[in-house]
Formats: sequence, structure tokens, C-alpha cells
Amino acid sequence: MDHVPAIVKEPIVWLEEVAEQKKAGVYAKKPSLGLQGWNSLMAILVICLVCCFSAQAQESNDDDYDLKKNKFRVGVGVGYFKMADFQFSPNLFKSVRENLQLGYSNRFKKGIFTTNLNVFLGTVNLNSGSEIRIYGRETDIYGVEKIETKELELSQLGFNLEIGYVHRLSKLAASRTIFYLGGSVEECLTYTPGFLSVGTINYGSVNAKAKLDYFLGNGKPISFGFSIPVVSVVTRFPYHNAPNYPGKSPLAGFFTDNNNLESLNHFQNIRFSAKYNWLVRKRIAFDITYEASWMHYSRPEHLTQMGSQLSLGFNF
Amino acid sequence: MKNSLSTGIILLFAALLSLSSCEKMVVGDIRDNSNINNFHLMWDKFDTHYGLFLVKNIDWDSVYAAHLPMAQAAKSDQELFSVLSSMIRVLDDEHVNLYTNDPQLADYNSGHNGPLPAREDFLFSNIRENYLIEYKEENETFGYGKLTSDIGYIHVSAQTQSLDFYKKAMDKALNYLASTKKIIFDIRDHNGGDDNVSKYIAGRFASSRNLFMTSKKRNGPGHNDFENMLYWYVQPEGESQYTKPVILLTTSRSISAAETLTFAMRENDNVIHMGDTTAGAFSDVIPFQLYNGWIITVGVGDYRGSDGKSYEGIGIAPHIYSKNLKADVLAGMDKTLEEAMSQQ
Repeated sequence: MDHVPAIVKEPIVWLEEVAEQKKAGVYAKKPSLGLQGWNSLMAILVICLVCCFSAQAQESNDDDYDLKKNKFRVGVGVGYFKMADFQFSPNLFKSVRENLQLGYSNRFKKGIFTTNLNVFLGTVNLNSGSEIRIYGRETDIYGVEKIETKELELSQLGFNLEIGYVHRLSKLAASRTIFYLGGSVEECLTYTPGFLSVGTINYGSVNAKAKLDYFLGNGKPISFGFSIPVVSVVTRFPYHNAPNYPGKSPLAGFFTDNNNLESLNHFQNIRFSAKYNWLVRKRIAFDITYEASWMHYSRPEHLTQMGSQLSLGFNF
Repeated sequence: MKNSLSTGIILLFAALLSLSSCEKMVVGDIRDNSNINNFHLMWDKFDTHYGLFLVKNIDWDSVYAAHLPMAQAAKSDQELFSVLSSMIRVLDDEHVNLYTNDPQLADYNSGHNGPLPAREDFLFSNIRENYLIEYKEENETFGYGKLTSDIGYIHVSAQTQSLDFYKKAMDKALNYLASTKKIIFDIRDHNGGDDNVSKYIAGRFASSRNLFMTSKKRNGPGHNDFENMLYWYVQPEGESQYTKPVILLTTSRSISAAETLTFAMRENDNVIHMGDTTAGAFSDVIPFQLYNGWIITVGVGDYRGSDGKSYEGIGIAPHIYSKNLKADVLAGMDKTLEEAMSQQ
């Protein structure tokens, strides 16, 4: 019960469990292990950027990077999301997520194959800034009464893995633009363990993708991306919110009788991105990428999430 | 070049700005955190999700009608708390709670018509200090030991760990107690957890396969909208089973998964159920937050015994009734345990 929420039967147990897990650091507002790692990674990235900037000042014409056939990318980023999950609350929540991204792309003559993995970890709080705190009154056998305070600190974790291909459309190409059209398959899980599992969702989708490279005066492109799911298999908690089946684990219960094949009519996940490569050298480049998304699913209750993410990537 | 770069930057910031002030896109029309809206939200959540309206023969619409004027008149948190408490009091369900974010108001339990009262008929520390000759604790909710060289003892106060934890713990306990002539299985302060753990633990004492429970849960807004019924069986589990006599001890505070464990244990021929009638709150419960941050818990299921009857609000009566007196407990005694030890 401690991994998939909303199944534990007794609220008092929840509270005790929350307290235990808080002690154990499960609900740590800033997951200490992760955050230290992220901070270090960010610091290294910034140092690399500065070093490369200095190097580039001396060596400015090495911009063959864009023509490389195979590219790998390691990125770190920060995202800010707002969400409403009416299965748990009518209130608005906000989430700050830290991301680690790994990517690979293979440029063909007429298209680009890409694989991207994005893993995230973050905190969830009420948008109002209020703490999610509740009180319970307890009395022991000696008649001593005390008020127990429980602060529910929520964390959120997940990943999305996307494999796609976009094909260059020559007819739509202009002197400063290249237009690509294609698709991808994607698997994404967002999980909020604990008392209120706001925003928990899993989906696998087939997406339509578009990419536009716009070449600036310096010859380097800004790449704009757009993605929308055409058909998806979406898993949320069931209507009653308590998947509990004989002989099945909580995780198996979550995915039992609860996967819906959805069209764009019921599941929308619109994403836009803009990416700019800078500090380009012969074999490496850095990029700054902005991504915005808006996701909505209507079953069994409305879940809406929107946000932005900014990331820095090291490409080689 | 400057123009191109500017275009890109402008586009980027336009995108950023377009997404920075769109709360309405996330939540739609945001309702006020007013007393009346909180009242409506709570009533509606129970109306669309509570699983026992038909079992308990409750007319939820009339509850709404009776409380609406009070909700409209409520001006303070205290008054709202009174109205909401009064509304869920009708359900008389120990699984239904209202938790506030105000220490003065604290919480309300429907079945107890107030906060949880003190448990006065059991103290585990009495057993530990005055009866057990050996005790091994797997964690603070699971332990086992011996009361005499022939009588084993297992104490479970919650089932909130993973199933693997209980598999290992039960292996250790039953190996350790294999030579005993009987086991007293004590769940008198058990406050719930996972039904699959109930199924597994009872299976360690089973010698045949038996239906012990059915469950079904709400899947729609109508009071009679339920998913298909699930059938829960107890059957021999693990490498070995303890089929010698077992005495299961419960109190009126043995609740939720403690009661599904009681259902399952009682299907085993070697188990005698002793103590007080259980709490009578079996269903899975879900939390839901109101506009004001208060949290309610809603029982979404209809759980029945193997006889098809609902024991919600009733509890499971023991084969042998026994309840400790507060004075005895305060004196360090456990008469129920002593009686169980002397059972042949």
C-alpha cells in the first residue's frame, strides 16, 4: 500500500504512515539526495558553458555540429506546473520539477529519428501556498487528550520516454526554414505517492509531431516543435479511487480494468518547444530549450495540467 | 542577424507569457471557498461515491434538505464544522471522517460522533511487560513471541507494509512457533491496511479454500452504481500452514482490514474468535479535499461476509465474548488474554 495511494483502508493508518514516511524522508519537500545531485549537475553544466563560451570567443567558425549524423544529448532542467485533479480536490496545485534528460538523434538524408527520456522529481503544494495540514484529537486510556498535527508534504515523480521520426517536407522549405512532419510513440507516468495522489496518470500515446527549423542570420537554427496525441491508452485511478483486487499488488490493481483507449476528444496533451543551439563547436554544442505543455483528461474526473520547462542540454 | 535573433526571442517570450497567467485553463471557473460551496461539495462527494446508502437505507437527499438551511446560515468555520459533522453523523460510519486544518476544531468521526475516544480495554504494553516470556518485533505493528512454552502469540496492529514484508514476517513467526500447541493471534488494536495481507495471513492458518468476503465499489453517480463484485478466498498460503488451534482476539477498535482479516480467519476450522465485536467498518476509504483544505474520507465499497450479509455498522460478533475492564487494564491485567490462554 505504500507505493500506490488511495487504497489504504483506514485514515488513521494513513496518517501514521505519512508520519512514518515523513520521518523516513519519503515526503521530504526537497528530496535531499536528488536535489544535491541536481545542484551539482547544474553547477557543472554552468561551468562547462562558461568554459566553452571562452573557447568559442577564440574559435568562432566551428559550426559543423548541426551537420552531425548521430547526436547524443544530456540535459538538466526545471519545470513549473499547475494542475487541478478533481478526483482528489477542487483546488489548484503547483509543482516544481527537476528534470534529467537523455536523448539520441540520428539525422537521415530526409528526416530525423529521435529518442528522448525525461525523468523528473519534484514537490507538490497547494497553489495558494497554504500547507496541507490537518489535525486529529486523540485521548489515551489515562484521559490525556492531545491534538495531533499532520502536515502532508507531497512529492511527484515520473518519466516520459518518446521515440519518433520526423520527415523533411521539401515543398514547404524556404530559404530560411525547413519543415518536418512525423510522429512518435510515447510512454509517460506521473505518480504522486502519499495521502493525496493528485496528478497521478499513466499514458501511452501515438503522437503527431511537427518541427520547424528557422535559420537566423548567424546561420544557426531555432527549432520549434509541436506535438499532439492522436490516440492514447490512458490509465487513471478508477471512479472509486481505490483499486484493490484479490491477489493483485497495488501497482497491478492500478492497471487492472482501468486502461482506456482515447482519442483526442477525451485526452489532450499539447506540447510546444523552442530550442536554440549555442556555443557550437565542431563536435559539441549546448542548447537551451523551452517547453510548454497543456494536458487534460476527463475520466473519471477532470485532470488538467499545464506548465513550462526550461532546460540546458549538452550535445555531443 | 539582429532582427532574426529578436524574432526568436520575441516568439519565445510570447510563448512564455501565454502560459503564465492561465489558471482558468487549468481549473475552469474557480468556485469561492464559501461555507455553502464546501457544504455542496461534501454532500456531492458522498452522493456520488459513498457505497453504503442502500445497505444503511439512508435518504441522502433528505439529509441535504435538512442541512441546507443550516449551511446557508453558517458564518464561521465552527458553524460549518457543526453542519458538516451533523450531516455525516447520519452515516454512522467509523470510516467516515472530517479532518480540519484548525487545531481548535480538529476532527470528527461519524461512527464515534466526535473525535476518536480512548481505547480502554486493551494496552499492548501490558502483554509485553506482564505476559510474554519471549517477544520478537519485526516492526512496531508486527511481532511474535511466546506466552508459555506451549502457547504462541502474534500481534498485528496494522497492515500497511508491503505484502512481501508480511510473507517474510509470517515465515519467521510460524517457524518460531511451530512447536507450540496453539497460537493467540491478537488484533485488538489493529486499525487497518491492505485486504490482500488479510487474505495472505489467514491463508497461513488455512487447510482448505473458502470464500471469506465479497466486495464491490461505486463506479457511477447513482447510489446503486457498482462495479462487478469481487470474490475473496482464503486458501493455504506460504510454504507451511499452522493448522493447530488459533484464538483470534478482537475489540470494538479492530477495524477495516482487521475485520477483513477476521472474516478470513473465521473461515479456517482451527480458529476461534474471541473478544469484543469488531468496529463494523470494512470498506476501502478515499480522501478528498474540500475548498477550504479540510479533508473528508469516504467509504466507496460494499463489503459482505461469505454469507452475503453486510456487517457495516454492526461488526463481527466473536464466538466467545470477552472484554477487559478499564480498571483491570490500568492495573496491568488482561483478563481476555488469560481466558484465551486457558481455552482448551
